[in-house]
Amino acid sequence: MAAEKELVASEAIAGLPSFLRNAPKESVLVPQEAWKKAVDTLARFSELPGRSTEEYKYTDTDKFFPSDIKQVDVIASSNGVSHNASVDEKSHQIVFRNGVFVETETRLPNHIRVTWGSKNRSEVPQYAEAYFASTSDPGVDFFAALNTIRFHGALFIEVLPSEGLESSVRVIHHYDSDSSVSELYFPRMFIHAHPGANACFLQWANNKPNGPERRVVGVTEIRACKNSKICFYRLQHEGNNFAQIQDLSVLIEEGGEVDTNTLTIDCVWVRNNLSIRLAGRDATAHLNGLFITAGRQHSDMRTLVEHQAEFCKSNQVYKGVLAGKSTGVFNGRIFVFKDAQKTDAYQSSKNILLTDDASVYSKPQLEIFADDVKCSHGSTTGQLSEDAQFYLQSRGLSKESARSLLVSAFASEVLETLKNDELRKIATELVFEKMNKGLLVS
Amino acid sequence: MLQVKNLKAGIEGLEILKGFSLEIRPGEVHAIMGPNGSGKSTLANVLSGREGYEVFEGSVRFSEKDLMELSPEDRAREGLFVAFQYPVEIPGVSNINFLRTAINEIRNYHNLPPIDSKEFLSRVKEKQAMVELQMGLASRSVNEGFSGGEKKRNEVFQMAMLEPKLAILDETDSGLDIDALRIVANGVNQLRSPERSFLVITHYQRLLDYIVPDFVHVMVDGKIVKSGPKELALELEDKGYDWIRQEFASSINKSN
Repeated sequence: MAAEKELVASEAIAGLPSFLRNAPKESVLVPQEAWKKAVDTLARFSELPGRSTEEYKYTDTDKFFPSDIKQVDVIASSNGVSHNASVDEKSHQIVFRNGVFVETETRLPNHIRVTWGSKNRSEVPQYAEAYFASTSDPGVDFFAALNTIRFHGALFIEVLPSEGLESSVRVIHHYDSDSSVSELYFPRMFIHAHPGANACFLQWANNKPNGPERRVVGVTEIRACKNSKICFYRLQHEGNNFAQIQDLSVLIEEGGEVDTNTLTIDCVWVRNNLSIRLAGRDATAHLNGLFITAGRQHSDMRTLVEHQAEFCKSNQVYKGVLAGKSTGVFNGRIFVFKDAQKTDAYQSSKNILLTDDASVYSKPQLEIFADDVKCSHGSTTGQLSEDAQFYLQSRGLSKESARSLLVSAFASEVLETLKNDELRKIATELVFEKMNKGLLVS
Repeated sequence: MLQVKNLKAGIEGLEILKGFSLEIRPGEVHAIMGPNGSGKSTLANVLSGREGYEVFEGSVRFSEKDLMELSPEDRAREGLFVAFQYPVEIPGVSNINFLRTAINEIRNYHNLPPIDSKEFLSRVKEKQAMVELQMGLASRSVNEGFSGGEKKRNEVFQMAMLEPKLAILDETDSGLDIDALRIVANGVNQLRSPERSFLVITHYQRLLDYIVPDFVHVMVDGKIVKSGPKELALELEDKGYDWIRQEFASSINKSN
């Protein structure tokens, strides 16, 4: 690494490991402009985002980094790569093991190409060069900017138009190292869908539960070109030694459609940022999400939809189920630009509190500058219906079964939006498994 | 099968059942009639174990057990079924799925293995036909978007699926047109057996044309004031409830 410059003037950022205060003078991958923007963003902070910042009002990040944390080297190809991992010949997949892209386990259809970039600018595919780090706005989020400064390798995924069936690709991150110190990862991924292209991505992590503390600060960028269709589904169930801050930025051009789903089923601490820009007319975005928390778990979902062009549609349904002393946050903002006439935007946030000690903060925001639009939003928080619970009990179901059936029913509205059978099955089973553990029974 | 003795119960400290007694033996069909506010629905709610209802005095034994000591689900597992006056809609919970769970939990309670899938499905098919429940309604969300008649038929369908020892029909006839009434009654009649008993709570004699009871009881002010054979229902239809009230009042005066 070249000479490093001090990023943050103040020593006073409590909780930020000292090695994160420094950054190389320039990036081997990130274009100069995006790099500078990220550096400037970080320099503005004198403390980690938390209660005093509007964006992180309910999510303190000052304990996010354990004191012994080290960034894991994902460049050295020998690191953690297992060559005899079981490979399912039938499914398409992109595999990472402890942050390292594993080409030998990655299998893709002809119209999807990947490039792993880590060493120099020439590895960045031409289609990405122009847009890199421009779909996400590092000026907004501290951690997305931190990722821009610190990531060492990025995966560029190119989706070309294909005849016939839509392809679904699993993006699997295995975390199974036996490191003695806490690990920090900065995964970075870019999906570029060419005009008319079509693909579905399902991402999840297989985290070894008894390993070291793991922290992930990830950024994914999607650019859906004209008339392309992309699904990006993320399933989070990493368990207790894993905390993450994920930033997903999507840009949709004319006639494009992007379908996102974020399922947070078993995460000790998670923050998900999702921003979608509908940049060309007739573009469509679906944003769905479900979080289920128990114990002292914390889940923060943040969405931003920008209607920049006319005749665009956005539809979001977020649901939360909270037990124990867990906390949840949904903050959804819809911004309709002046020229975005005929916008059709919908947002719904519904939460169920299963215990008296669980809490949820739900904040829908609608800002409309066009005058001919159809926008609506709603937010509700309540408890399971006692009448419904009694009805089921009166038919012979235990209180636990009745509650778990009602929670599944509540969650099903989100699960049913998953257009991929495989992920829907996995997610549905996880929801049941979580409830069968008794976590949801007060 | 069911012995209710001097039951005093109510809600929020208010006594609604004021010394209710009734005995039902296996295979018998009892009808309880009475004017509004006489405590008929409170009786159904207390027996089903609905939260909020309190028992102040008296006892209820069901199948040799103290019913009041059992949770709502254990009452169901012991063989009690209540067809509710206002069945709730439960979006997202399919009828079939919840009935399968219910049957298996009831079987588990009796140390039986889960029901065989094939057997379950053929039972669904058979019972669905019995109450003329449209194909498809059974697999839809519980009561969601059902008409009043469909909801009541669904109650009888569930009853048929769960095969209870004692079924309580709480004003199942309210809001039903003649055709739906006939279908519901027909379903109930097919379920009659020497082991299974029914308690039919109703305002009107009409239902009893279809479900012919062995005994008719008249409930006024929280207790049974008159019992008789099925002809009593006809008499009530003819004369209304006032003569019973008067008869009851004068009998109290006499005893005083």
